[in-house]
Amino acid sequence: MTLLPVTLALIGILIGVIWVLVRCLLPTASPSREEILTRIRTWGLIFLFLLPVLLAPSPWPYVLLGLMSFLAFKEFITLTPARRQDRWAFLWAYIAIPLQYLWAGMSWYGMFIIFIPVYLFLFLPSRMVLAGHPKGFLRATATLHWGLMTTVYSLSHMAYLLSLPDRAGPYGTVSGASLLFLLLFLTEINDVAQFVWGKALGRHAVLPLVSPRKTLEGLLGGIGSTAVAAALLGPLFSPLSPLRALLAGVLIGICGFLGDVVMSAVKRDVGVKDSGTLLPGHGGILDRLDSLTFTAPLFFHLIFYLYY
Amino acid sequence: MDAVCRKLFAVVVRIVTVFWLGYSLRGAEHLPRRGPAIVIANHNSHLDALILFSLFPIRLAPSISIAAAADYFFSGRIHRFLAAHVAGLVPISRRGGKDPLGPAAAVLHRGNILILFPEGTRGAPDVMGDIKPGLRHLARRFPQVPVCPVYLHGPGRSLPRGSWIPVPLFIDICVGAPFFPSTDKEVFPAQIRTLFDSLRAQTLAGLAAEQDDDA
Repeated sequence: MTLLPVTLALIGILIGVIWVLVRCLLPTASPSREEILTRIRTWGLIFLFLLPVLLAPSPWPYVLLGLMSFLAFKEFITLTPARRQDRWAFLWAYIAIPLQYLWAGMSWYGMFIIFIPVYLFLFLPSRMVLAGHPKGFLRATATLHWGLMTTVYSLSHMAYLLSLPDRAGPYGTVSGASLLFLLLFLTEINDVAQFVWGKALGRHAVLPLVSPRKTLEGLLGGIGSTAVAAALLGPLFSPLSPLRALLAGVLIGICGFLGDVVMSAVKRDVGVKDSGTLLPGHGGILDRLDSLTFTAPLFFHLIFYLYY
Repeated sequence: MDAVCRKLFAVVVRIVTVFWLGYSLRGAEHLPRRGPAIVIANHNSHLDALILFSLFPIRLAPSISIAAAADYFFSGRIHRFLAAHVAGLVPISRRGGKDPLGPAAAVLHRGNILILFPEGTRGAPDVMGDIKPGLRHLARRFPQVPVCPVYLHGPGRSLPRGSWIPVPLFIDICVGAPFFPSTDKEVFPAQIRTLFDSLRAQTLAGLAAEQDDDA
């Protein structure tokens, strides 16, 4: 299985080449030069983070993905208002993060799939009710659980993809790592393509009140581009046939958009622009992971239903 | 020996403030690079002092002292040893006495950086308590020492009074330009209060900046 390392090396070189090209070709006076360079540098850092996630032996990928969930959940908790008496429920919610990634690493599917939606769903409000304050109770429990579901439960499906055993694909054996790579690549291609199509042709805002810069043209262009990329890459990195891969691309295009605007609505509701400052040029880590909170579980279940 | 302890302490503190909590810092260029200087901040949590401490490079750790209540942090021998030699606290007596600010003044005399909370105690979260006269007295004795104001948003939520495990949260820090406090009894508290109100407004506005952008 040399396809994945070779592809990653190519992507690494590509990011480097783009950075050098922008540095050399874009005039120093251009106002967006620094911003574009910062963005590319951050893409480089994200890429460097993903290398061990995709290539390192267990348990490192699970540790790194768990760390990513920790940062995303922390950003979510920082953004949302909370009651002081719920401190202990928050600490318990944090403890759920390593456990959820442990279930993924152990391939304990039953526990992985119900731990947060059932056990924590019941446990956290129980812990909160012991604090004895009904005022604001529903808002507090709902916010905490929504945060866990998006930043931990949804994203942890990336880790479970890694635990899936090898399968024969149209062009050779595919591993969990190649499935995860396909998910990440298509989700990010979709983000970028929607942005680029929107910049180039965008006229009609889809959701003007939630995210004024998201346009119908960007959305359709993004879905189309992602579908083409999926049809080309899907058969190489997954058991999907070209036609099924194309449909998977459409799914990622639509759901990536939904994840993005849902997180935008949350940010708008609490009154911030970016979820944080962790990724220079991109905002917070949630700003980069928003699409994945939707695409990761749906792509996982598509593959899981069809082939496992 | 002390210097090694303090640097080790600075490393441990950084693990908490950078990895467990994490922060975003604005106005870093205003932080003093050498003493003598006074750094003041709003005070809601034990984390406040640790966060301020970790804003400075580790090599400066031995030259940073934190003003702390003598009755709270310096009771008992082990406490006293850890406070003075590891954490670098200097005691301030809250009951008065001959020269309650003596140890703090000594820090500035030595040309070091003093971290001080003008409220003197951790108040209710997000409420600025009464401004104590300690800073004003120091400013009168050291008119040439600049005071650097820092607004901390979040520590009171992460580790409020009476709790002992900090909830992981990102902290927003806003450092203001150095100034020389008024030594006038009437003007001084209002001056500090206005300053922190404006830093607080800056911090909150920074979070909400350009909402109409591509949120």
